[in-house]
Amino acid sequence: MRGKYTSSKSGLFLIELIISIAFFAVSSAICVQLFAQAHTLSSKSGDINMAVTSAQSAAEYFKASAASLSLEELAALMDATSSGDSILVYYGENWERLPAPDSARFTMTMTLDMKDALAVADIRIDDSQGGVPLYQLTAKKYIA
Amino acid sequence: MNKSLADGSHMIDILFTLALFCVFAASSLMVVLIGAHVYQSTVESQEQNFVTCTSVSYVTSKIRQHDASGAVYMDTLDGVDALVLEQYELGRTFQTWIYHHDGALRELMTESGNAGSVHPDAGQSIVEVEEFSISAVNANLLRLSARNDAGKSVEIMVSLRT
Repeated sequence: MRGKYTSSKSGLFLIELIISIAFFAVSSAICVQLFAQAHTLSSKSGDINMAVTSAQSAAEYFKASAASLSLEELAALMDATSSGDSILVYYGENWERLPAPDSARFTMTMTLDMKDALAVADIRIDDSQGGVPLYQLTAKKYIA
Repeated sequence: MNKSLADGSHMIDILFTLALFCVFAASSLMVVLIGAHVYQSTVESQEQNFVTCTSVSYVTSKIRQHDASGAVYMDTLDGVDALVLEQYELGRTFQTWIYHHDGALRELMTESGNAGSVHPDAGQSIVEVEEFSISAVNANLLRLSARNDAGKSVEIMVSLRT
């Protein structure tokens, strides 16, 4: 009678422990998922920060350039490459400048357009690991 | 014989329960450690962004605020490269000196002509940053760059409108 009682007590404790572990497993799975999301959000926010800074710098180059400055000259001032009517700047994983698109994660494309006396620069930063542009900015200036 | 079998079974029950408890404890410790690591990396990343971006944004705003003809230029304060922002108030010209000295971005305001008598230590510390440099790319374009102690750097260009 006593042995049966001890065994039943031990079994109950085991069931209790198993239920606790199951509950813990579910909670920890949710927590780990949240941690992963927090990490992704944090790195994305850092990338957006850097994208804004880079796009602002490109806009400042555009605003500071003389009206007569050609696309190639502006690209040279920015230490970037020009292709058609666009200027391209390549960045690596940690936002370090890269000379070529190979192994580039982020690409900044600056497209220049003239509308009468208004010069318009569309600046877009793309992440090769994401479908949508990371950041977009339009800068305008009047050319006398 | 039966007693010893019963004792053995009882021992296994206890051992199994103990082992299960150890797994539970190890797993909970692991989750806490992962959480702490994620939290630490998030805080570090935010701190890095704060130090570099705040210093650069602050100087950019100051330049915009003082952007008048000839009011923004580079000079040295007791051998330290500095950005000088001039403003004319009540018939007197005041200069705001922004420079990096002793591990911090500093700002010092003096009346024009008095800068020779002040030491860079006298400046008000704005933000602690490992490295901060201001250089002129050409007559109307300035390059600001900041680097924190983790080695992360931010560079931004500022064009002068005047």
